[in-house]
Amino acid sequence: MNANLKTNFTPLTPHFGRVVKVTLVLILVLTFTACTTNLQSKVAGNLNLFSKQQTVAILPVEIIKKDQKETAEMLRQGLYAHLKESKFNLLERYVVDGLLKQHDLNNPADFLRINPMRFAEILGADAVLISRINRVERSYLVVHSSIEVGVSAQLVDTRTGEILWRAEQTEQDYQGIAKIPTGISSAILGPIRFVTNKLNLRRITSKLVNKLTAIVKNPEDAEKKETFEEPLIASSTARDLEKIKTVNDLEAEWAEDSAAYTKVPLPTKTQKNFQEGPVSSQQRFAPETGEMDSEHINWVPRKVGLQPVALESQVRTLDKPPIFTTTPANITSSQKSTRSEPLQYTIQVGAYKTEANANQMVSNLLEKGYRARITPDTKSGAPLFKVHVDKFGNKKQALKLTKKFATEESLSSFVTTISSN
Amino acid sequence: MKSHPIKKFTCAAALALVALISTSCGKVRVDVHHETGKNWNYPETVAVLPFSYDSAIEDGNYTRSILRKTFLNYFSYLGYNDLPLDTVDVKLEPIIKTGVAINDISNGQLMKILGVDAVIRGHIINSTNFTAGIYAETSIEAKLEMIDLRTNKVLWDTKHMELDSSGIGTLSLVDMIHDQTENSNVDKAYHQVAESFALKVLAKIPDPASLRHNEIRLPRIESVEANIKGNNKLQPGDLIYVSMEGESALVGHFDIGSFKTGIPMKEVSSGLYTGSYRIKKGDLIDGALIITSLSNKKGLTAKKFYKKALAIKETQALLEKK
Repeated sequence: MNANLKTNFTPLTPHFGRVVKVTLVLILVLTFTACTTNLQSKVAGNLNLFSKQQTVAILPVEIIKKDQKETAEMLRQGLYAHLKESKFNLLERYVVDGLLKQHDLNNPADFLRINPMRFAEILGADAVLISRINRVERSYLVVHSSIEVGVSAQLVDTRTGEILWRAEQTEQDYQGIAKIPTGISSAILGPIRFVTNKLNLRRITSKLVNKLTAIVKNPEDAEKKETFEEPLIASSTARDLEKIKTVNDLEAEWAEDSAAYTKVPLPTKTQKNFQEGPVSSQQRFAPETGEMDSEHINWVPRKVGLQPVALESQVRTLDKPPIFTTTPANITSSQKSTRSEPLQYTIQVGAYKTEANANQMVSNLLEKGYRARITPDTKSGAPLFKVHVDKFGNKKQALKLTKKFATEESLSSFVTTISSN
Repeated sequence: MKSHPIKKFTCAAALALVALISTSCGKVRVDVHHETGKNWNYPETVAVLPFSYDSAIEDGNYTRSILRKTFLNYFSYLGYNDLPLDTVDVKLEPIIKTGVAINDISNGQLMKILGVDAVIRGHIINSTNFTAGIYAETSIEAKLEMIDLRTNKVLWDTKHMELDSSGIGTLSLVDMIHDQTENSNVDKAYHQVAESFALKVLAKIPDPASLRHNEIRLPRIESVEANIKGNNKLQPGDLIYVSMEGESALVGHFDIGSFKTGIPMKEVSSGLYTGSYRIKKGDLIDGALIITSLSNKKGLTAKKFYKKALAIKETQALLEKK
């Protein structure tokens, strides 16, 4: 019998051994690659500065299709749970949702278009996490089924608009022949069970969030390739900051310009005459400092030798009535000082290099019912478009309007004089 | 006697079904003992107490901390204000040091020590983790209950066993190997089970979030002023001075973009807060806005930007540009 056994036993051929080895390697490869991940994630160095003093709001997740709602909720819940272990503080979900609701921000698809600075004022958060479900796909083909979840997320600093973290990830898992079913029934049942079991979607989402948030929890571990080369600013913030900068520059110019009106010029011959001129003339150029906040004005001496501008080019009229055309401001200091007609007052709310900006300001004021107009002038030879509102026979009335502008429109203004034509 | 092919098929189907049932996770039952409608006097603040465990459980000490932490992480999604675990532990430390077991601390004492409306108590009944060739399992069985400290009533309770197992019932060879490998990572395996446990329980716990949406009020900031001007470049030694008008008796601070944050503001008169920052040589400030913040005791913070000027520091590069 032993002899029979010996003769029946066929030793493993090298070929058979190779097949076994390849099969084993294949199974191992499949074991570790069955669930595939495609993750692209980058962080900004400034994320390292976040601590428990900073608060992050995780906003509701945007969905592309209605049936992604459940996955979106899972994702948000997962983000909350995983980022609870990060270095920053999380704003409670009910607070985020309640405040967004109070401000009628109910559509997550709008969040990327909103300047993050607005979220700072609405939510009181230092950063917001905006995310989107790009895809949730379940496929079934008798002996093969798969689930794929794709998301994108970005964390934006609401104080600066800087993108602190941006990521895109796809997580996929499947069940089928490729995973070597343990029997015929498994080959048939496996794919059905995989694609219909809700727990599998939750498991995939959970895995996805775990990998997705790893870098945010420990940004100091980010490799060079995972770090932004230079700060990225959200386009809506960049746009708004540029606007603020432009307005600030113009306001600064306007302040300089107003200073030019109010400061008594330095002693050139003409200026001396002006200083020694009649009381009425001096009044015309007397400082209106009482109504201005000195902290906000750059006091600079008026530049001499302003270039006179041709009269005909000075009268500006806008399409929208009733804009008043004004007396051109092309009179020199000496000319001004010699006039003696009764004084008329107006208030100046702005001075712009470009006429379009002045027009915009005038239009806004007209819409609000103010009698606004453009008074062209020059500054260092370049045109300057001043926005004046109303005319008054006495200064007190004009001062009243400046107060109204300060309280109702949050606009700084000052009283100046015009000639009574 | 030859068995009938139909009988064979029935047996196989029954076995497959048993295998499927045995490998799937159980459903959870949470008993809710309070009303959840509009008139629900929900607790606002909740603390998750350290969980206890049966001393016979080998991994008890380990699994109780994993389940507590994971449960809180997911629980924080609901509309309660939860106390951080560290804070809970620090506050309870003195009484625990006296030898009092956590379950022996009365509700009244807990309310006084922790200052919360409700607590969650947890007890680990059993936990297992083993990997044995063709079979692997990890499980956590625990009891949880939430108690309203204001009324001493149990709001909800549950007893649940979460099991993650893999064996002959697993449908594919690759999954079987994968599950065995994963299960041998004890920490990861327990975390996954704790996560499933928490998610299933939380799905059944009443959430007051929607009832709270309209009650949220951020502190009021009326105005912000600063001494920086539109086209001014700041230089070392310059002082940025910020004032804010808003609700009184709160905590204020201001930020210069994200460059310098949390600069304290003092309430100099009722509702008027001021603070300042002196520019230093190495400061890198370029186009930053001043942002003031006002926080109340509930931890809610309001923010307001000072948009009349951007803080820009004069740098060598800027000077060269000129």
